[in-house]
Amino acid sequence: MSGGLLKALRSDSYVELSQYRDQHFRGDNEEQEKLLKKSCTLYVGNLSFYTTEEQIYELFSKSGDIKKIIMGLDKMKKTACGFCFVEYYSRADAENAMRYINGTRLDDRIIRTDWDAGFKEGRQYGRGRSGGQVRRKVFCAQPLPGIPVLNNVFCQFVFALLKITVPITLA
Amino acid sequence: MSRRRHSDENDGGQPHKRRKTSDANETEDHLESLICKVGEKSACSLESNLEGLAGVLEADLPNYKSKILRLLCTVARLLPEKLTIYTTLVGLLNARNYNFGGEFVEAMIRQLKESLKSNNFNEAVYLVRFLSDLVNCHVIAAPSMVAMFENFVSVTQEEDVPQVRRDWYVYAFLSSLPWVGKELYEKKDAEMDRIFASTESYLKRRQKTHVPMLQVWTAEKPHPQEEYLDCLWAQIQKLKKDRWQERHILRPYLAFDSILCEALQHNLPPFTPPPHTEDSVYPMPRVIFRMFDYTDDPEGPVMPGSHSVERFVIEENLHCIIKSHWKERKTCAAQLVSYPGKNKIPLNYHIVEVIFAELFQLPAPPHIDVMYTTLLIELCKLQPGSLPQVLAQATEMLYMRLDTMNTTCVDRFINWFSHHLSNFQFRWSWEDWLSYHQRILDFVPPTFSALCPANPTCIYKYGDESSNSLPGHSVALCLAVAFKSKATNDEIFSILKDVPNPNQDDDDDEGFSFNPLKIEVFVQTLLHLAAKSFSHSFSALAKFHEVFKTLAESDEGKLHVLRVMFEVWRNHPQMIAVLVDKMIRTQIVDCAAVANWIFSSELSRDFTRLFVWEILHSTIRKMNKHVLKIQKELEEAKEKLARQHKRRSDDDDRSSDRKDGALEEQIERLQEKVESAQSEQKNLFLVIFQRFIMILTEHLVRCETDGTSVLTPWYKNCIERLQQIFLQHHQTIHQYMVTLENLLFTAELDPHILAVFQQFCALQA
Repeated sequence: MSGGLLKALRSDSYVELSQYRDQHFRGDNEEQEKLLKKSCTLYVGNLSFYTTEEQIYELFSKSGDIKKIIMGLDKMKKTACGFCFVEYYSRADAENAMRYINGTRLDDRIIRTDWDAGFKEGRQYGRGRSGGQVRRKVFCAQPLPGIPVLNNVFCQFVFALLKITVPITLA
Repeated sequence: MSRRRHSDENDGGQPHKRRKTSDANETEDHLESLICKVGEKSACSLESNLEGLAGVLEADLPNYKSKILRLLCTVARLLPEKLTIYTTLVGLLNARNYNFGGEFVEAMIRQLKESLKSNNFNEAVYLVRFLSDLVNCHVIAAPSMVAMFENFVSVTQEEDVPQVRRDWYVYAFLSSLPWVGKELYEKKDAEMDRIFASTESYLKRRQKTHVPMLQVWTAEKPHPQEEYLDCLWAQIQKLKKDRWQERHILRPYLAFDSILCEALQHNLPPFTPPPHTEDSVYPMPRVIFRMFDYTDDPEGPVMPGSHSVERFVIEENLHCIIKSHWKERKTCAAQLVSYPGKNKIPLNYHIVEVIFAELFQLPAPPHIDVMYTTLLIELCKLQPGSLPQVLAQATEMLYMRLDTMNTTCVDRFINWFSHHLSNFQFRWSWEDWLSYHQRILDFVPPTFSALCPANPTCIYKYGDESSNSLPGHSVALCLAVAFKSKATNDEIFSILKDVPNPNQDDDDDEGFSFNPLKIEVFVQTLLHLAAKSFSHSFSALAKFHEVFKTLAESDEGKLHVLRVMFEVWRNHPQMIAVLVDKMIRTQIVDCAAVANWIFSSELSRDFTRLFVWEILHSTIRKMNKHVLKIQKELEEAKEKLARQHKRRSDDDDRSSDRKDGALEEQIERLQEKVESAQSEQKNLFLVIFQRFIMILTEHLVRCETDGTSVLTPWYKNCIERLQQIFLQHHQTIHQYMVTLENLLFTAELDPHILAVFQQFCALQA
């Protein structure tokens, strides 16, 4: 008699599949969707070229333990080209990343996350015409190199500085 | 939504008579949608929408009664922020159809019993509140509600039950009174006075040992951090003194008084609280988080006082909104800012306070920490002219009171603030802060430069000229060359064979006993070469896993690997954390080694730093997940065997005997694995608690002999870290209570330390 959740409360739109399907995927759409629906791997796009693995680790760890990060590379230059894959140990952690990290800033750029069917060798290379990330046709200027320290450490520093007069070692 | 529109959709005919079964689902979905949406922004008034919906539901009762009953019970349970809207709806339905009203009340009682039996106590509170508001809608007779509350409060007389059980029944009673206190007092004041007297005497005699463990601040100023029942009692007392005048709650049923007072009421059946069982798990006590009062917003509407019932109702509703919409950050933000009655209260202040209350809640926030960061960002986007200022004000207030804030909460504050700032280009009134910074830098001695975070670089001891004289230097160089030319594990082993063991006069013939020098040169050189990125370091660990495992075979070996890794990466806390994580996952070190390392003298300088505790808690979590995983595998194997047995008794298959054998063996192996994992888990906690007791005792004894005060900042940090272990892993630790009590937290222990254990016990006592 207790019944399940109401449709209104079951809404979890940030976790839903997007329209994107990997054209190079080996298998049909149904298979790809099946994998996407239980995947623990996220594609992360619109990263700054200067964003480091460490920064990605720090941000994405906020939704759970990270199993692996694979940086996206320009196919020709083999340098960072603005995307990466983040794999979690659990699906629930990946879902929280979709709910709370997608659409927020990393290195002062709004990043975009989407489900990925699972990393396979070769998928770390950009498929854009010049070898970089495929971008929507919107002009985005490259930002200046971001603040090199990690957010969390910066904050602890500021707090620590201002607590000099109070004899306490913070964090 | 009007009656007219509905009949337009159906061409005036009876919709359900013409519909086929396949459309029934559509209708049910439609009904669900209508019910869920009532009360949202609409062109029509709430009253007219309610009246219209009541008409629709009444018309659908013949064919969809059980679905409608189920829907209304569900919204009662899951949408408590819209309580009075739905009680009004039920009131209108009861006025039109007495039998339906009766069936609904019965269904609610059944649901309440189920919730209590399945430990869904938070939902049960909403059901009780719903029932009590039904008194206001003339669905339930007041005397029968009073009788139910009498039975609730009589639970306080039960003996040999946990206090948290008695607490819940008192809470369910008190927290319904803002809605129904007036009506109940008007009808049955003598009985209500008796119930109040019982409640008061219970509240006076109940234990509050748990309070210090759950307070966000240890200071009582500017706002006392009250135990939740104490606070609620004060609020209800004040409401009673004000003759139950309450002006905040939205009461749509008042507009329908003439209809509703004609309705026949139902009596609640006598309700006996389900007895306490071994499996009963009651909600933990809470401390109410308060950071604002009316002086913080002198320009706007007055903020209701901490003991006003309005404050209670507003906070309850805001918490319920977050609970309903936590997965949808934009919806959640929109629902929060459109809280009804928002023009009469400083809504932004309430919202910010409620969000921080959840973020800082002990033992743990109701939802994942990062949700609150993103929710606050959405709120700033939605109300850019007003909310950011309130948030800035709150941040400064929190900052000013850091020295009395619980260490765990400080961690969460730091993580929230830094993440928040990184979304706003680190814009802050830094000029105010930095000018102060410059002043400080001007007069502060250079020794304070230690507070600046170091450049996160790798420290390689064999790197420069001066290291020529270090033992093992030549081997380090040799290793470096080998690594660069893609040596195999065997080649590395043979290079290491020649490293003398400083611990022994002559080398062991077995060759691989604990040799700290071997570990030193290997780990230093490898980590230095792999320093470029996390991925490089992980690859290195993977490639030379065999060497690591062999060198770290003994407990001392494991500890030394961690020590050397720390020497290399002490400037880069994040790298330390990910390396420890990898080493545990690849079983180079075990959890107990990490625990021992954290309490070792090498780490004493960094003992109060956040990264140390993040590593320890992450380690404990990995251990817990490991145990749960194997337990699950065992359960699944047992279920598989049970299914096979059932099939065998159904068929008559000889071959399944053989299948059984393999499965039974697997179960035996898993059983052993579970036992060994649980033993490792228990040992981990014992190690951690033991080490805490040791260092705290050392400090306490030293203070006693020196005659100095125990309460140093280091002590506050350490004792709160001990509390944090209990709080963050309370469910797991609960299994080991008896061992802890008998082995470690005995009566001989210093009372300062024992108090923490007693507070923890009080959480579920």
